[in-house]
Amino acid sequence: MNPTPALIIMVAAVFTNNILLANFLGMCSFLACSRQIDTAVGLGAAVVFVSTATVVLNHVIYYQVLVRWDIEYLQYIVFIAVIAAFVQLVEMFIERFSPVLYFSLGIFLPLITVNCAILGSSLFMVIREYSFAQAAGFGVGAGLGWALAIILMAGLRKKMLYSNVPRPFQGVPLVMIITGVMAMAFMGFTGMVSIQ
Amino acid sequence: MGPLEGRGKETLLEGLWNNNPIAVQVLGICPALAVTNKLSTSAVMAAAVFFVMTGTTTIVSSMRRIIPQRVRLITQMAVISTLVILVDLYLKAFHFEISRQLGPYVALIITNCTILGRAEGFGLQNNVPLSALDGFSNALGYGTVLLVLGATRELLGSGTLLGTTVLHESWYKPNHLMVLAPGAFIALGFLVAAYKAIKGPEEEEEDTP
Amino acid sequence: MQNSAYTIIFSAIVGIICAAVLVGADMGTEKYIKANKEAEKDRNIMEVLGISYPKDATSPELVEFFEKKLEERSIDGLKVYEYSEAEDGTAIAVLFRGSGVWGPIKGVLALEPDLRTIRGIAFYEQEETPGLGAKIAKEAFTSRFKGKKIAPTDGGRTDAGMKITAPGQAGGPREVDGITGATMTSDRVEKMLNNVISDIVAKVNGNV
Repeated sequence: MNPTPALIIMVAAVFTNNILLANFLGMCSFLACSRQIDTAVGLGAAVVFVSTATVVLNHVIYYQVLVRWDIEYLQYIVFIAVIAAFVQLVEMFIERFSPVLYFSLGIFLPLITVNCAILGSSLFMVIREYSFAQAAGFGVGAGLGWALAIILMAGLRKKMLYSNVPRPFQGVPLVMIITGVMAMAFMGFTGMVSIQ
Repeated sequence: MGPLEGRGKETLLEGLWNNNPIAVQVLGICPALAVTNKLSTSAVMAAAVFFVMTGTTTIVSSMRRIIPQRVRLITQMAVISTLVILVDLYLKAFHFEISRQLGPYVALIITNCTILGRAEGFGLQNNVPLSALDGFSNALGYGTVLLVLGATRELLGSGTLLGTTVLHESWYKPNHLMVLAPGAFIALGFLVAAYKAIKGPEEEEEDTP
Repeated sequence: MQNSAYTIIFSAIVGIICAAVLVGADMGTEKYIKANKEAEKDRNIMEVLGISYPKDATSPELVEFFEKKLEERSIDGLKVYEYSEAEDGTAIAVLFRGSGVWGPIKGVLALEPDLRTIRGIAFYEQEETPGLGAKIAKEAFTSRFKGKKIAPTDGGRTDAGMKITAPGQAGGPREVDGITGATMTSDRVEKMLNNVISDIVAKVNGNV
């Protein structure tokens, strides 16, 4: 049993082991939706919600069903099915209770299903053998970390809107380089988690 | 006209250069960044994606007339997941070392937006030979970027290529950053910039950055 | 085609086909994967003991080679691998695992025939922070253990155990320098090492 407290795992997932800046997951939506701060915030919140819920759900399913029946190799299919179903539920929920949010998120909501960060969180949860509490902390932290990255990027892109960028670097290349520098900055957090 | 309906060459070029999945469509980047710190893992990942992508577009296209509307997405995901698990099991059985190094990133091919995008955007509308070719050329374009990125990062980051030292320690101090996360982002950024510079301006420029 | 019954039947058939393909693939590859995992474990043990093995052997061949060279014994629940062709007697290796900071850490500890001196140690699975805690897997760290003692050599059993000190502060034969900036990982490693050490000292002594 790993004695690292769930809270520490959550903080680490946001800063030192940021799922996007350290593990490269969730890039597609990150690149597509990081232009406007509103979209970034909305999507980030949705990702936090889905990430937390699916990591927890998958933890239960993995240890109570897959491991018990010796069918761990089906974990990929089961996890993605859980994620797809959950996102569908969230979609229906948002459409019923906040049509405005539903409209602004548009296609990006179902895209969370294929957001590698979500599936990746569940996979890491299995690899690192987290307990239930740790999995919950990790799910929250991973989502928050991703949201943090995308919101920061949206802010930066807004600032650069009128900069004079050389043509080959416009768009994706520049965003990549900025992400690289952000990743370097986040590496500086590595010593942050200290002993109790 | 033949089964390719005369669009064979166009389809091939699209996936490989004009509409390269990574450089232009900007899809499926996650694994591209994660496993390209070495050329060997990049090559295996490229091969895995190749198998899954070509397989998916072919299978989806052959089923396109019988898939009910409501379960379209789920069916595609099922096909992709099955193929990915097959690849994963194969690697674990016959190439254990490499499978260890690739870690969870083989499984993440499932969420590779490129594959789903091509299946949905092309495979569902076109016949089997064309779809197979489309999957093939997109996979080729994707794989090429992976290989170039992998070679660049390994060369600059460790001075080696496929494990053998090329840039000797005596005069080249490896830029360790290239092997870590930030280096991956920056290297890809410059790579895509180079691609855009070579390709030339497009008709419609999106407002940037 | 919008017929609900058709949708359900279609989904069921697709589901069954996928499941069948996967179960088949799993059954077909199961024994290879098991052999690979077994061979990997065996390779780790042999490397730590310093036994040379054919580098390009297949997994089943490696497992066979391993079983010829080493004997596996279970002493009081502790699994010990005995290598009787060491220079002065029987060296042993014990697998251990514990919780690192970010995930499980698995390793092998090999002892000389005197059962007190460390012949070698390796950490073959860990999820620690790259560049910091992850350095425990590197030779620079593991080589510090070679020749160190796990317990007092005068036969005392009650205060067996080692200490991982701050870098540069290791003094006696039972102390090893830790890694700068990886205090938590070093602490966890020390704890899991002492766990397996007290197990070995309690169970293996005099039984070999």
